Amino acid sequence: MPSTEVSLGKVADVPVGQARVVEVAGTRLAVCNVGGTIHVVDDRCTHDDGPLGAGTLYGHAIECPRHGARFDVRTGAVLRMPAAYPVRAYDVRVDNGEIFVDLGDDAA
Amino acid sequence: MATLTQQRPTPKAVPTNGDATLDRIAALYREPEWLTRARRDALAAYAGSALPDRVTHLWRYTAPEQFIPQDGAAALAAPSASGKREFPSVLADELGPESVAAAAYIREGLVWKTAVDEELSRAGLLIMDLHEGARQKPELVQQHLGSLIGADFGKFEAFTNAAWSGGLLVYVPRGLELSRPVHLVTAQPVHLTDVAGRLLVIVDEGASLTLIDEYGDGAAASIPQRTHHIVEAFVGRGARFTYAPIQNWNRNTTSYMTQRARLDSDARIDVVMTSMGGASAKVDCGTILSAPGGESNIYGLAIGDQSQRFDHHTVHRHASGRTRSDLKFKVALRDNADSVYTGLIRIDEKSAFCEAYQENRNLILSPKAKAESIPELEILNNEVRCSHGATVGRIDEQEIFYCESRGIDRAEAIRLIVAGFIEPIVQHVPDIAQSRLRSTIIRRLEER
Amino acid sequence: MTELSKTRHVQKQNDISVREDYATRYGFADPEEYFHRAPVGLNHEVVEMISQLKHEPDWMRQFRHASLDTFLAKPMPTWGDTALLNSIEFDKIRYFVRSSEKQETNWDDVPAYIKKTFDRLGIPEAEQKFLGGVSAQYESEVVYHSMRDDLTKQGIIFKDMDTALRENEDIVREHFASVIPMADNKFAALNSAVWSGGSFIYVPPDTEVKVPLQAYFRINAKNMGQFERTLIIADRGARVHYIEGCTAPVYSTDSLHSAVVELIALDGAYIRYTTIQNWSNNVYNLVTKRAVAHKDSTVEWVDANLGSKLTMKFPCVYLMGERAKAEILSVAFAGDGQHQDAGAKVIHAAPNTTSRITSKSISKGTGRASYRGLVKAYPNATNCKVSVECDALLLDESARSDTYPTMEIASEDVRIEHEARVSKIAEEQIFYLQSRGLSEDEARMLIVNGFFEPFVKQLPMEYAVEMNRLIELEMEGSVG
Repeated sequence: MPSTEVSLGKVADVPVGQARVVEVAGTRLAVCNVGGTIHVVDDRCTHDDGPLGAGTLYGHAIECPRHGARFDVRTGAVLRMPAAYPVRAYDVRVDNGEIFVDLGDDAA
Repeated sequence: MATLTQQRPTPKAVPTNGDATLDRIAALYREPEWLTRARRDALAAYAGSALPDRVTHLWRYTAPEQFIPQDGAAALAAPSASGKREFPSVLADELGPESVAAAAYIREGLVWKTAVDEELSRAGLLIMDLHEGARQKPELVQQHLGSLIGADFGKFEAFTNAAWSGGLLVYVPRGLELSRPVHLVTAQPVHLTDVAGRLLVIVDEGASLTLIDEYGDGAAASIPQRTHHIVEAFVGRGARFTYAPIQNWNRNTTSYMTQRARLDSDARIDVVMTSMGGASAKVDCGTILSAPGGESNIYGLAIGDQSQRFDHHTVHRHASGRTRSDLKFKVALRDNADSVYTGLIRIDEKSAFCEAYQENRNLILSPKAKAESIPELEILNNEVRCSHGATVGRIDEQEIFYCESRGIDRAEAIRLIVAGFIEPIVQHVPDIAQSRLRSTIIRRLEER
Repeated sequence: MTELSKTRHVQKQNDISVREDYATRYGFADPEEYFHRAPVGLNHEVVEMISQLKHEPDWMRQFRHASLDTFLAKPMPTWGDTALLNSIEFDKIRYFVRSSEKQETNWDDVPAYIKKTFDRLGIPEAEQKFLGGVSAQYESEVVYHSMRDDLTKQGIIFKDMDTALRENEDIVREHFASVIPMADNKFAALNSAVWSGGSFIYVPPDTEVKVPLQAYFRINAKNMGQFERTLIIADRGARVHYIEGCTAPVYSTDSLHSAVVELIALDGAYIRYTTIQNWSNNVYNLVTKRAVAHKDSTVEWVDANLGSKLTMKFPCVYLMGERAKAEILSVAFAGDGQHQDAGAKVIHAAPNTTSRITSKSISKGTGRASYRGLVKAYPNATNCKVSVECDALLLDESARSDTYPTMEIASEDVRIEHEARVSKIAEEQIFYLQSRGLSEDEARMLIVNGFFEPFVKQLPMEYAVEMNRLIELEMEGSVG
């Protein structure tokens, strides 16, 4: 396991079609369950830097609750305004029902 | 020069919250009743107020939670009182050749040591522990303390009003014009997780004072710390105050500082503030021009590297007509550092014939550094001359090319340009601290 | 908070989607009957009736209902002129009026200051009656139609929004609410629920619309509604200039106007959108205007705010493609009791983009002009240049000017400059002109004209002439 890899808990903790916010190593992440597959993005909407994880999942799109911006949780790509810049997405590894992501170089 | 070494009793470890703390402070320092009452009110205000909302620019970019003092932390604890109390070398080196009028050293929430030139002391110059001042000069302290930054100013100011210790009073009597600066140093706390302090400056009619106010001395500490400070200054009729706060806390510190000055008629203040330290530092600095003829100049410099976060707010409030203000705030950032600058110029409705200027320049030296600039104007009187400007950018390649074409290599060219960027601010720093500060800043901004 | 706002908050955010079946939930009656009774207030029945009356496709109907839920769930803004905003009584407003049922105002009820302005501006009688709300139709239908035929030959679509939704559903559906989603802000959500009228324009690739749209037909009933929704799409390489509004004051009995304007400039396209707003002094005018500019495109907002009690409008451009450009020119005149809360927003989200914002305002009497701006640069906005210039003139002691610019810069390779100035008319300038034989009033007039000149010279001729006359009137103080 790479030194910057962290555990985000169990897949079972994230109901299908929903997102949960996990704080680890000073970073807040939105853990999304899209039809059984886990995707992880920063819990920060690039439009207003506010939390994203409290938003609603529409398939693989997460919609920020404040202004309606949408991101693809698989890649972080912008799907709808008023977002203009992608949100950071992480490579996810699921091992025995536990979720791992590599936080990479700088976290904050 | 007479040195008055004050031996204050050292309080044991007590929690920062709660009436128990206040009772202990009151007892230890033999506080006057009015002061303890003010603390209690402030504590109630702190406990009863919500965290600031994140909507206004004042708090939009900085999470308020980080400033909440730790419950039950080992506060106001200090090493044993035995053993000689010394000044740090930076002060001792100035006291020797008498290049300062007075000095004070604050450490671990205590006024550790003060020294005042004998002659000036006889002329009425006071540099003393604020508790001592509250007892000896109640008429002076009571009417001023907390009147600019009281418990109703904000949640964190309420906390500092309740929990401060190691406060200092600086009083320059009427007509006394000091030709040498007063130098204060507040040491990096070593044992405490939270330190709350305050400074009360009163420059009486026709007097003049230059004050260097340094925070942090490079000492390392392994624990995360929070510092909370309030500075209130009253500049009397025709008086002049030059205030140079220099913030250089270590990288484990989260600091919160609120400073306000009120100017009487024809009074003048020049603030030159430098922010270099801390993991996260928030400053609210301002002047209230409350009578005609007042003039306020604020010069600021924020230098950030690694993951430092700065949040500076300045206010020039023209509460009277015929007042003038100028503000220049410069920011230079490397690595992943982040700076927010919000500055307000407000001309009240009845304040005619005012002039107010403001400039914020942000120099970005690395790809991941970020700057936010929000200079604001609220102008309610039309007899006004007011303008502001802000820029954000990196070093112009043209300028580097110009230097290179004259045989100066890139690294040196950048060094020169950065030195040129900071110089208009640094030149306002009082002489005895100027060259030391200049070289510290340039070293910090150098490419590695 | 009115009773209305509290009723639907129980609906969870999660339920806001287009999967709800609102028809069975709320039922419907005959919409003609419904609006003949002209109910006030805002609820799902009203929204359902609007959609039924317009014979809209089901997706738009669902969108309206979801937008209403969003509007009700969102709190009022806590920034801006909150005192005025919180005085809006949402449940006393009529959100839809059929134009054929529209009550005609009695000429006697039209405020005197408006009639006086008509005379001074030389507005023809027929126009006067229309602007005063006395006549619901304007007789220039013929001219309007012939211009439309020319456009159609070029493949340009220029229709009112209701018609475009019916006749060009596919293209409308693709872009509607793509720039300003329903959740963007409370008033966009309101518009999304009850919109009616507004323009839809599509310009095909490499086509230039040679005259400013609206130039021949300045007054269009459908473009003076409360909740217009406008969508302009300029395809690759297309060029279009659209003008709305007019300098003559428009008397509206409707106190709340909340429009949404979405512009899309595809690669290499050019869109200029000019607005001259002069609503009567009882109107709250809360508008969301935003453009998306793709590679090598240019979007220009030219915006004049002269009327209304409170206008909140911050035209915005998102520079999403390389070398895209934005220019925003905003002028505001705040007379007694008015608050013009205007500004500009530019978002740089691509390399080599440039933008320029110019804001000029004059505050007179107790008027208040605010500039609220945002310049945001994301890390990928390398080599971006921005310049912002704000100039404010305060003519009288009780006048007020605010400037609230925000710059959020996360790219290092940028040149951002912002400058603002606030002053009154310089005594020296007046003295100089007086010494050249002008009266003090004439001198002030000349200076104010000079102040607004950068804006006025961007207008087509007849607008410019009217604009100058209007400024003269405002300065004389004989209006309002």
